Amino acid sequence: MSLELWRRRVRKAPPTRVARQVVHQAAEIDVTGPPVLCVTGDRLGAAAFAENWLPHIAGRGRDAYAVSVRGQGDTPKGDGGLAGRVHDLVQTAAALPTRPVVVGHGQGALWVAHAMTRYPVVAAVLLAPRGLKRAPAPPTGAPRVLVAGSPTDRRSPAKRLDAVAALYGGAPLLFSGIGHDFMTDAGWQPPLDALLAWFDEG
Amino acid sequence: MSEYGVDAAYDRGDAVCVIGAGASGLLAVKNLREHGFKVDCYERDTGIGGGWNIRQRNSPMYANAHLISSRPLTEFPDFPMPDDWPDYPHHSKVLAYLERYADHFGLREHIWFGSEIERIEPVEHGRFDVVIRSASSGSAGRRLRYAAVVIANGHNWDPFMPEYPGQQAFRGQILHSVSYQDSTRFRDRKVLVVGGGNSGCDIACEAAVSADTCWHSTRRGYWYTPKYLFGRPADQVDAGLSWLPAGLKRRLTEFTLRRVVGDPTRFGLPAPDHRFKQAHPIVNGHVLHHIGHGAIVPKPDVARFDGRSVVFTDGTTAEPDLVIMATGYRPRFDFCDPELLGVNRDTDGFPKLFAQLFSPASETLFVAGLLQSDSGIFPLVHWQTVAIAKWLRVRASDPERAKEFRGQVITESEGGYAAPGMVDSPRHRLEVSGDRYAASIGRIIQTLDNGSEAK
Ligand SMILES: Cc1cc2nc3c(=O)[nH]c(=O)nc-3n(C[C@H](O)[C@H](O)[C@H](O)COP(=O)(O)OP(=O)(O)OC[C@H]3O[C@@H](n4cnc5c(N)ncnc54)[C@H](O)[C@@H]3O)c2cc1C
Ligand SMILES: NC(=O)c1ccc[n+]([C@@H]2O[C@H](COP(=O)([O-])OP(=O)(O)OC[C@H]3O[C@@H](n4cnc5c(N)ncnc54)[C@H](OP(=O)(O)O)[C@@H]3O)[C@@H](O)[C@H]2O)c1
Repeated sequence: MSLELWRRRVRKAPPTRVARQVVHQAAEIDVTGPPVLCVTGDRLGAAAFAENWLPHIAGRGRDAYAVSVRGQGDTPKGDGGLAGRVHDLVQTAAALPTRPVVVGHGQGALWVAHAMTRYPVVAAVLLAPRGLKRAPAPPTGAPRVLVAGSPTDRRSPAKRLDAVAALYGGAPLLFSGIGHDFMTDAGWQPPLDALLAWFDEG
Repeated sequence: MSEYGVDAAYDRGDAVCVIGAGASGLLAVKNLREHGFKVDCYERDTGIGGGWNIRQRNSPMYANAHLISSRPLTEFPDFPMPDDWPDYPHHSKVLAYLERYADHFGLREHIWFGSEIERIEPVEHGRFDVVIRSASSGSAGRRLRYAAVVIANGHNWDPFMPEYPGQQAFRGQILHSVSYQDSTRFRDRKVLVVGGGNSGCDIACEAAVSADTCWHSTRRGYWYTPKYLFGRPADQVDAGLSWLPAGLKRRLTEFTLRRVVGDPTRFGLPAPDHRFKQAHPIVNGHVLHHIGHGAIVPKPDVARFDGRSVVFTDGTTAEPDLVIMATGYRPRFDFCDPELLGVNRDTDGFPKLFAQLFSPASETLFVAGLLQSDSGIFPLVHWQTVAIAKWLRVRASDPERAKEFRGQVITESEGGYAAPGMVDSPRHRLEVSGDRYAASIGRIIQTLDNGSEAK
């Protein structure tokens, strides 16, 4: 993280605290790696991961968490706009017992990209990213970053995936047979397995 | 690691040795590891936390100590404190925060507890021999060889005791604030607190509500900054004004404090003999309040002790049962030749480092956390240890650039880091303006990142 970024941040009043909704599912077998923390831009927030993703991740031996940032799910609206949501995400990550790997879906990828500039995640997936036009700042702690999505997702089109992946010096991982809705679409499992496999490589 | 004799050094290759597992040592371990270094950290105590661990021998903490810098300006830049904690957490929470940091980043497996560093000696190629003694067993030390050493031994544990005429024969009890833990010892006693630093002010406030009588002796006038201004933590109000030119900001703050806190002379205190921030700040809104209740009686400097009484410089006297000397601390480095830290005849025993961080005598020796600031210490030490890690990387990969860099660091140090016109007092030897110092370390890091001189 850059020192200048930190100086600018602490000169502003910090976002007001809101009580955050965090959903947790404990690993069901011996832990195989860092916890996974998920966030989506969807209004549902953490609930979007509750049905399929969290149980599946827990079944693969990782503590699974999802957070609703301010204004999503059961988390009340708060001040701060983008800075407020990034604050909620960083607070959630730092409250975990150990450093997590993070998945940001849709607009959530934007928040993850910002959170990474001031909190050293172990690794991050920017899944079907939205709203990410410029790389905010280099991530701190040199995490592995993967950009992934679907070529048929019109809300995060292939061109955008290429552009975001280029920001992080890579090429996107593409999944076919799925749209924008990676968490509840009938074909949710193969992409999630691929992401978990990518986490395992680290 | 097995036992090695004091003469044969066990070579730890590229590993870096960190001395101390207080906040500064933990930051060094975490940031060096993040930059790919192997690290062995030695802590003489059985736990982490240094001064914030009130159970540690020589901890300067006491029961009612809370942060004086607010949470967002105190926390590590990349690991926030929980936002449901209060603005100024209790010392036990600060320790809990350091424990979480150690667990979150898996630092404990790199720390050897109950291990005191007895000696560090430079050997060839910038490497260091380090002699480690087990704090409990008292057996002969082990000697290990490291690529670099980061000293993070703290400087708020070796008490400074002033000496006044007649002090030896004084019939009351005299203690340094380092041994003060809680107010039970004040009950039914008359107490004199000497020193107007944050320890002196906090302890005087404790005595105000628990002792029979409390006198508070200060040898000059100070600016008493409350913890809140306009309902917000005072340091956040201050940080929010960073865009103002320094001179104007100071005048505005002084004006505000005169209006909000008032004229100290009305309370029987001397007027400040310096401008705001020309002394290490006192952050305490209660001293004047207790003076207003008559629970603290302000006194000038002690002139001498006389049997049962203390005589002050204005000729008045007091008869305390207990005197707490809250007169501060001195840095101490028994394990290392003073020249390695730039200690010489002109420095009054204080180290003189480049950028208050780099040894002037060795490229691979550093002291993290040897500073006092008008803002939180933790973030400054975070950036110090990031700079150390980046410097060691550059030194290993590009000796030419490293040489150039050394020149920049020397230039950076020339202006000093304290606000101009600081009160001439030994404790201000280590004082930096948080803003200036962060800017300077920022330039150093930028140079290390870019490989070229940054403006
Ligand atoms: C009462 C009080 C309140 C404070 N409040 C604030 C505040 O509000 N905000 C702020 O920013 N700062 C505050 N400070 C400043 C405080 O000193 C720093 O915040 C910080 O704790 C310094 O940490 P450190 O790791 O440098 O030193 P320490 O905490 O002193 O840790 C040094 C460690 O090194 C170990 N050690 C020393 N020598 C050896 C050796 N030879 N071998 C092995 N181990 C060794 C010690 O056992 C200790 O654990 C306060 C200080 C005091 C005294
Ligand atoms: N609540 C908190 O968070 C908290 C509490 C306590 C301490 N701290 C921090 O811990 C550090 C140490 O603080 P401290 O208060 O223990 O020590 P300090 O800041 O060094 O203050 C020592 C005080 O004693 C006075 N003094 C020194 N020598 C003297 C002498 N010979 N005769 C008379 N007076 C003398 C000094 O006067 P001068 O003004 O002339 O120097 C000063 O007022 C500081 O960074 C402080 O901010 C924080």
